[in-house]
Amino acid sequence: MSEAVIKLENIVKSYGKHEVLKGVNMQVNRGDIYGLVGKNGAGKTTIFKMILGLSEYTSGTVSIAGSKNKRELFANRRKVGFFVGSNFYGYLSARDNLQYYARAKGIPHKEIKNEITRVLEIVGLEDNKKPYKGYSLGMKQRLGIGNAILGNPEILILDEPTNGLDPQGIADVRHMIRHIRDEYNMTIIVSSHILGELEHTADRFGIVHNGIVAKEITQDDLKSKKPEVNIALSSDDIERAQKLLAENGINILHEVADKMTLEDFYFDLIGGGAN
Amino acid sequence: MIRLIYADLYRIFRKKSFKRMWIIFSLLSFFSIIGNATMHDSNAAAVLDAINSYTSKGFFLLFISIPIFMGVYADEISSHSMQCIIGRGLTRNKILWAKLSDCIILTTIVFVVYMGVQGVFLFKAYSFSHSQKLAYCAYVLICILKVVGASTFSMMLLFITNTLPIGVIGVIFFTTLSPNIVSLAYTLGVKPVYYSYDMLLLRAMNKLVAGAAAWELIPCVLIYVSGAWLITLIFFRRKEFDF
Repeated sequence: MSEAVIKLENIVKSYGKHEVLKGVNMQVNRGDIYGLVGKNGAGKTTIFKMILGLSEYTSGTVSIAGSKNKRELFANRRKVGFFVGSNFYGYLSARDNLQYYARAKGIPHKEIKNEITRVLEIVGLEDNKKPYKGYSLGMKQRLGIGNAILGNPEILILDEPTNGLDPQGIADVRHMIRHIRDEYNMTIIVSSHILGELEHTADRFGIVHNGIVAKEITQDDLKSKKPEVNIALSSDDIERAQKLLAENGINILHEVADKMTLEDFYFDLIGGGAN
Repeated sequence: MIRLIYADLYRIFRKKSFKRMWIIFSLLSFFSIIGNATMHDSNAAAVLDAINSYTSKGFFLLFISIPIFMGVYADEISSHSMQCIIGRGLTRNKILWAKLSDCIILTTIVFVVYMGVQGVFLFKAYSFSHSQKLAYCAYVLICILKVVGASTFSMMLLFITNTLPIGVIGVIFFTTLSPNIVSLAYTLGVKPVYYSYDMLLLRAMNKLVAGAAAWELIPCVLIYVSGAWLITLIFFRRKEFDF
């Protein structure tokens, strides 16, 4: 049986009478890349805040790496690295910013230099010496991911890491996430509202809708066939072929069945979509 | 917690604007003291009078209290780095302890280095008696407490309102305006200001300079600084952080 490294049970978060989360149940297993999808305001970021302790939940339980009480939860948060946007000092370079976090995270002094070099190589910022305030958005995102993996945490949380990136940047981040999981055996939770993008990155998905994780699906579900079937016809005269199809049998060369996409599951559940 | 203090101090000492302001503050105060002493009697007593003047009025202290406040507290808010520290499992009261410790350590380093270097020069140039040297040390202590107090009270405003300009206005007010307002109010016979932070520090300074023990320092630290810290903690524990 898979080992749960992040487990949320019936998490409710209210602001006065307004319930943002209405009983979230979610489990992320060791080694998963878990994609959290949902429209803006669905509650993805609030779920991350609950896991990271940046906001108190009204009721329910959060467990990280098997923690059984709040004390263990606090202690086990040290096993989590996360990217939640720009959390850096503008006047420091990438290396100095990571130096700050490496010290704050308690990485042994002797290992700091090598660890920062390793991380900067992974995110491709090893040669950059200018202050953070002069970075492009892509560089900022990459440094954010670098900070998340600093110290080799067991669990990685990435909140919309491809936000605002160009296609090349998105492809780089996707590659980086896969590389980090495969190379360092991390469990990764990543959120995005670019469904097609996440579909290529994650193994399991949770669709957040109306303050709950309304559906969980896997890559196997995405490989299942759509209920409707497209038929490719071979004919010089399409109208005639259609007529013949209607009347009798026609020459069907092959069936092309589109795979279910993450978008299909998503829009089936919440409505909307391109069609 | 110690790791965070260590990281914060590393970060602040890497900040160029902080070092620049430290140098400006040191030169400005040094030349002001020398200038003042030269214009008057040009002896150790005149030097101490000049130090007393800028310590009490607090204008020069602004050049160092703002960079300390920005480095220790305000940069955390503007960079959102606090979220990273909380998310890594450090409890919020430990974070606030670390911040207060940062402020005390940093202020102490700034004043001990500046007053130390300046002291070596002054003690050579003017013949200071033993009691005058002790008075000089008393001024160092009072300057440290003034800056720590102003930063901590402003931290309270910053963390409650989450608005950087209010924090900066707080530093300006508590460093320069408040001591002058309190002195004026006391002169006008407003009795409650006798127990204000600034008046307690002023009375403590006068006692220490005269070579007496100053009990006034106890409420300064235990009531005012600790009180501001505790009020901040109450708000900070419930604070919701955005990414």
